[in-house]
Amino acid sequence: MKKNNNKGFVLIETIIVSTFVAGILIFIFIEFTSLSSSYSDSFKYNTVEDLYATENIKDYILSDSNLLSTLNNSINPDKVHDVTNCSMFTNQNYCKRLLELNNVEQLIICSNYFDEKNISVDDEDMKTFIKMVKGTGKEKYRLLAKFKDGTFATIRFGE
Amino acid sequence: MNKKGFTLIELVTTLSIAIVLVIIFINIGLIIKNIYNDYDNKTKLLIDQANLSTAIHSKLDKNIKNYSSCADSLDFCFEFNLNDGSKSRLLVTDNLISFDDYKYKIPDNLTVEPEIKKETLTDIPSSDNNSFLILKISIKSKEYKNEDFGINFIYQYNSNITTLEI
Repeated sequence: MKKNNNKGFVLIETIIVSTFVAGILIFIFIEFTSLSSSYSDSFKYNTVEDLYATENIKDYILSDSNLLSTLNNSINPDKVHDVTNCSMFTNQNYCKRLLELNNVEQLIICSNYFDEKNISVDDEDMKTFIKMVKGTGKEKYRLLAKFKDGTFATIRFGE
Repeated sequence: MNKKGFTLIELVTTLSIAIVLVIIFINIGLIIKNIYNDYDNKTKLLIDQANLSTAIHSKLDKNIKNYSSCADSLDFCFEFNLNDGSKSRLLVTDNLISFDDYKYKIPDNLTVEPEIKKETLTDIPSSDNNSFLILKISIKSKEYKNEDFGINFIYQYNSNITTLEI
């Protein structure tokens, strides 16, 4: 008499279960990677100290009437002004020293309601930061700063 | 014929799948561990930094009339006379930062280096701000060696109008 001993799993059953478990683990992995990334971003973007530094620079910008006049004539949603080299400021040496003391690596002025698709910036980290910024409020301009420690901050200014 | 047991191919395939699952699981565990460590340590440091920064900036921004060293202290201690008529006192020791009502007891694993200095640029028109008061309190952790959890307060003023230091 023939006895068919069919105890145990066959390979196909193992593969099906493993695929199912792998799918769940990959889903969890993707979610946790996204969570970790968001968590790291919270350390990098708009910290209190960086916001005060940006506010400090904004105060200086608002005191420079020539710069404000230039911005008023040239700002549009597609344009960014990289003012890191201070060439647009009246007192360039003062501006450079102010940025140095505030540990600013890059400083950008643009329209508060910029179109991110048309904004051209070389730095990839700055591009990522710009994508997170939403245009809100009545202010005309937006100041974006990248600091030497790799953190970023942004504030609105101007009427 | 007794056909119990796995073939070699079945074993190899099953082991490969199991290894991939274990690797994914370990990576998830490492991410969770990093998030937990960062939450516990770095967030506390950033919160303390934010509180210290707010305490100092909210009082001193655009508001300093003049300042002087504290007469009753040999530590890093300064008293600020403010434009609104009030006074603020900053004291930094190895284990305490005190600014008016705000007190921050510095944990043992942190080092503090305070500094205050003034700087004046010479090629600026006399009607514009030409000077900086730089108050830096550097707070560093052994765990995050390249990061500073202190404050960097820069005060802009015109030395032709304001002397600032008594």
